[in-house]
Amino acid sequence: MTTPKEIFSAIYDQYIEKIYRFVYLKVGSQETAEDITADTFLKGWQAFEARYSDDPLPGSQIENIQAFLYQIARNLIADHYRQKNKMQVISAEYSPIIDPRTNTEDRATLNSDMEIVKKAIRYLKEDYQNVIIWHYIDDLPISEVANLLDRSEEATRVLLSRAIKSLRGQLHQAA
Amino acid sequence: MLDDGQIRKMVQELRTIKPREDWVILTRKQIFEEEKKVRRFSIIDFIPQFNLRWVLVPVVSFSLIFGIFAVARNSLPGDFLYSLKKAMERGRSAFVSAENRPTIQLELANQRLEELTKIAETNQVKKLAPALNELEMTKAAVKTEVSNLVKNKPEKEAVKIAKGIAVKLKEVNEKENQVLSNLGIEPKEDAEPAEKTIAELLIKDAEKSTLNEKQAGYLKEAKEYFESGNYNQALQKILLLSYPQP
Repeated sequence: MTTPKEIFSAIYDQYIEKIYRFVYLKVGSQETAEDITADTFLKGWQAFEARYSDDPLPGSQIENIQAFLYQIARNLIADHYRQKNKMQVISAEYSPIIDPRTNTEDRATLNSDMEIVKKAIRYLKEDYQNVIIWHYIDDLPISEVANLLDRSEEATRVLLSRAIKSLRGQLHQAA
Repeated sequence: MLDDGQIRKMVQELRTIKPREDWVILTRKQIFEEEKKVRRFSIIDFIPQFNLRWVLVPVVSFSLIFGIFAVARNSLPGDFLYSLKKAMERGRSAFVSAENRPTIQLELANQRLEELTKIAETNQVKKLAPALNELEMTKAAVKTEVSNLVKNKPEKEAVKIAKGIAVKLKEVNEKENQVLSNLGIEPKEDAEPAEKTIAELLIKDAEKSTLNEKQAGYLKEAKEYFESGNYNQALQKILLLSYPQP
């Protein structure tokens, strides 16, 4: 029989990268992203274990673990900003990016472009950040993004279109 | 100016952002270590490791489950165990025949009214909205089952079943009016309530029957009430035909 720990361990493996990247793109600091991501999974595990204990009640299981983890992460990010009393954190810290390319010049260009895009995303409002990260980076279909945002698919498509427009504006300003 | 495709491509490059591998491994370990520190002790920890454990565990578990079901039976909308109560009701209704389903739903509607009464008596204001919601859902289910009855059964059989549920339907309606009136709530208007369907069916059946003068009078009144939209009164009159007063 599979234990809750084994199940959650698999969930951890499946989502650690996505949640870390989601948090990192919003807070811009590797150290902060690591702390918040670790807290997200700790809280997620505590809730998961409580609901999947010996005699789970009908309707008590977590229906969508992905949405659940993202929601915890969002709440922790909001707490982080409330505590720090900052709207945007532009991190001067260098965050190593794993990149298969070996050409130094290409890597430098890529890093520079990526830094611009990362900063531009951080200046977007939360819903725009979320829809861009979930659909374009995490590759989630619109239906899943809609579910995470608790909106209709049509509303999500409109939001995505506006998010891209807003991002274009930010990138244009940065250039 | 960057087009959407270019922006998408730039954004997708961010997929290369990954956490440090050693951090991932360490964090996983810490999460489960942390969980061990706050692990709650259960009574099973104190049971010696004899075969006795295998007797006591099912006995204790059964008692707990039985206790939970008993508490669930008395729960109200908004309570933690209410969903279990609803699940138990659904379980009981699962194997009911089609002709008995309207009666079962009416019994459940009665149960919902009992819950509303208890909420009012104990002044549990926060549970009022969920309880009213539950009542509406059950009434909708009554309406559906009555409608299915008329659609799917031959007329003669439908009339026979309708006569059986008409009395219960009248009682539930009267109780609903009283409970809602006590709460200062106007009953919601419904253009096609269950009593309309039943009254219509019974009026149609009565029109084909041979009636004495008194019965003909009741039928006339029933039709007048029906045409004016007073379906409860129409039902009341038509029941006098089926269940004559001494």
